[in-house]
Amino acid sequence: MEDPEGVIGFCHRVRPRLVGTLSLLCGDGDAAEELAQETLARVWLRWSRVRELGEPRATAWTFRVAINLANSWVRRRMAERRARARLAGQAASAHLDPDPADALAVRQAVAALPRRQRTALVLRYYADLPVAEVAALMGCAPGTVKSLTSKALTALRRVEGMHIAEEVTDGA
Amino acid sequence: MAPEIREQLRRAARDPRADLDEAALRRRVRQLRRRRVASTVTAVALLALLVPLGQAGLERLREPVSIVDRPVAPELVPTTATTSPLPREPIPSPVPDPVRGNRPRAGSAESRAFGRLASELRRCPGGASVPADLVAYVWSREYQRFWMLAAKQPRAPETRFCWTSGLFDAKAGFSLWGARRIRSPGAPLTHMGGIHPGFALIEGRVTKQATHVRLRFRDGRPPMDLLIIRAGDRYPTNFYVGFFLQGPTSPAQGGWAAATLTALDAAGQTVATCRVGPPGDGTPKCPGS
Repeated sequence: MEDPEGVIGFCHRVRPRLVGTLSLLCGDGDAAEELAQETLARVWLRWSRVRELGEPRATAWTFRVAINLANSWVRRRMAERRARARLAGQAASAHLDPDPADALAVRQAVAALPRRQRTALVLRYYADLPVAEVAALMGCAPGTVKSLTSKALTALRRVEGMHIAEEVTDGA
Repeated sequence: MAPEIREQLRRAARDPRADLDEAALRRRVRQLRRRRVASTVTAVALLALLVPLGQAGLERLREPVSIVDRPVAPELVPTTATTSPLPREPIPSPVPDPVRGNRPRAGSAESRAFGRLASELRRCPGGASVPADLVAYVWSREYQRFWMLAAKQPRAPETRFCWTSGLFDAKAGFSLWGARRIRSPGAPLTHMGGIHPGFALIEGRVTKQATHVRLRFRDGRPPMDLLIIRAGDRYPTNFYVGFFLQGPTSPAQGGWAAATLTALDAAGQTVATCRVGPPGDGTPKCPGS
């Protein structure tokens, strides 16, 4: 298909990292695919302005959209779960995950983190964004990002199946 | 340490199941574009509708008009501008009781408006477990709006109560309603005002001791007795509401027309008085509702 403006190429380049990031933020692979698709559609819709930002900032903007969508999705799903639990008198049934146990443990541990810690950790260590970029995306100071990731790592160290060394060095 | 966590996260993250579905993406972009166009068209249409309405409102300012003129339910006595002395006998309440059980017809604008207010009240203590009461609503044919008051009584040991009100048009659209408020009875007279094209709304809480709430103006027009809404035994306070003519509030245009509020008891004695306009003669400012 033609791609005179470069938007399809950009979508191809950014999508794998976007799906991965969203799967860690949402803890749900299917939702991650859908949210990534929605994010890219919104990028496309505003491409004439987004491309003027240049690739790094366009990517950052794309992640900002994705984080907003993921936050809305998580809030919606929590409300649905509460409603379902109220109706059924019990928590919703567990989701069957076909992935290996260690991946599942990591995903569950990440999903259990507070929202901002999870966002900081995933953007920093999965999406590989520099601290300054993560701070800009989260609307906070770089020091806050470092503090959030440090707390997230401390929490993950307590989880069985997560092997993370004690030393934290932030190379941003 | 960073490589370890990176590796673990990479293993835990999902890879896309398939390549980018360009056709689906294009479809979604087209859908979003159509939605954006539809929103723009709607906004333009609404603007086209509102501008003449605003002009009509300004036209009305040139003639004297009455205030609340057509109560619908419950049967409300219209408020009137008055300079006459208070009667010796107490005036019967225009709203004898809360109108619980007298809900508006399902699907009506009033019913939808109540739904919105009740939804607002669900955020108060007690959540959805304490039902909201429709205390009263009153129409103004002159301004093509109705004002509605809903409240939620406290459940012991809670002593605070929650109320909210709104101003709605005939379709319950473009409604403006206040956020929930949680207060102990507190001050005997409180106030909140809102300016709309061509008119202003004034509302608040008033002690049950008062039988009249009189609004005085800064521009020389006669004082106005506002409508008292009796909330019944379930609530520790009554309410009041009134509409009055109000143009733009810039100093050049005369500013906010209202000056003071006075709550009077049946004997005509002042229960509370406070200022709703700019400072002047030292009258204390009315606390907010």
